[in-house]
Amino acid sequence: MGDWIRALLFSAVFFCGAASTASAQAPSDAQRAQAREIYERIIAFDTSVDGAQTPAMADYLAGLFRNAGFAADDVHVLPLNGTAGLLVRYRGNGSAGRPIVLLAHMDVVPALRSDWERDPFTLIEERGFFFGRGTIDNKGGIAQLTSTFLALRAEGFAPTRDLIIWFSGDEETSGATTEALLANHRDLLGNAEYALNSDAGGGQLDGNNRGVAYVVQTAEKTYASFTFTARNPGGHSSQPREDNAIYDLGDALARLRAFQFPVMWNDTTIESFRNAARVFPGAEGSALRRFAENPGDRVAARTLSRNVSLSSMMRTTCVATMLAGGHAENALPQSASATVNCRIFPGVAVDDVLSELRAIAGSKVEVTPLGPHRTQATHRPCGPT
Amino acid sequence: MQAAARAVHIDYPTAVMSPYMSAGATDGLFFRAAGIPTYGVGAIFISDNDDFAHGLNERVPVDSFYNGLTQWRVMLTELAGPQ
Repeated sequence: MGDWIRALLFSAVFFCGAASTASAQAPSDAQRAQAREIYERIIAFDTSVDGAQTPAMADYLAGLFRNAGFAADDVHVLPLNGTAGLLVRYRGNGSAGRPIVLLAHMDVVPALRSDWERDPFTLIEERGFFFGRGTIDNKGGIAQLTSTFLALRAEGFAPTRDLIIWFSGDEETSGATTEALLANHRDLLGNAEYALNSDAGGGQLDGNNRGVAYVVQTAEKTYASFTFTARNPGGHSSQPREDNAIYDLGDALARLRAFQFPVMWNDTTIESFRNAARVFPGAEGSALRRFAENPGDRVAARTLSRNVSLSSMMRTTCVATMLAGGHAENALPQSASATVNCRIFPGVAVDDVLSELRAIAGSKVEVTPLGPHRTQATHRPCGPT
Repeated sequence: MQAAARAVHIDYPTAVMSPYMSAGATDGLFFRAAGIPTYGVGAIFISDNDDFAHGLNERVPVDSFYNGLTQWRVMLTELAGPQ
């Protein structure tokens, strides 16, 4: 993402209106102190799969909202498989429209004290930084959203549409708490119009601490992995046969290597390319401009596809990432398998990618989904905000 | 997008705004699949050199954490405030 931000620095795209004075909107000393305390308390919960303290963190946060006057049936802790999610509804009068959901995740990836310079589960302020596991991903978002709700509530802010916080419990692993919310508790979201996610997007500082760029994430590719498996009755390695599980897998992977998914685009990528065209030099710059004007331009698409990061924004990608096979040095292999990791373009169903991979793999190699089975990523252009 | 821009420009008036598509996945994936469009508008400004999400010695600039309170307040009061 860093290269993209650098490229976008020089573009002249402004979406802004006039800026308000800073003082009218800045947090009071009291809010700053409260936000910092919440941050400190939640960093201390080890909400990785190792520490498993997400339910405790959810309970702590739920207590803050209840104490601030949020009604019992507007604060929901939803436990699931040893973790939990938290939903809080700040009711509005609906005059401005449908509810907006505000997203963050409570879980973090693991951290070992022996690898870190400081305790990863203690918020430490030093040299102008807050250090700790989850400070940026994503407990900063949790603290900011919680503090904002509590401050607005204390000030008597009456929203003109429902604001609904959803703090998930397993974004870094399976996403099951969010899947369960949408599948089993959709009523808690009302007829939500859209969601604002603190776990994506953000700003870039330059070497002088100036904010030079800000990106809004409006689309994401779907993550899906698959296993390619070849099987064979095997036999003695002193009498090799034409049919061989390792070679069959190798052939399938060679076809995968040669395959390129078709070019795709959406409003987000077109806009990104249009901005980047101002900054990329020479043939790439003009190809970006031509593609942004006409994504059917195959010559432009071919030029852009030679750039690894641009190519990943133009299509689904699948790549072999792990490999295993055979069981003994002197036996013909009875099985061989490879892991294939795909990043799927929004709008493409995971099942369609699975079908494509099966066609590539051929009849001698089985393809099965690996991990939680997702459906697809969808994409909508920048909305009314 | 415009509410995000106004909110961001209070503390960072020279920030250039842009949409992007991430190769990585977030909870937004599930919401989009369920028909609820999702926009990533995280309120943290950080330099590339200091971004250690998932890495060692993860950190956030102190000012950025507090400025993010402004960003969220402005976005929410603009989107759900008096019209």
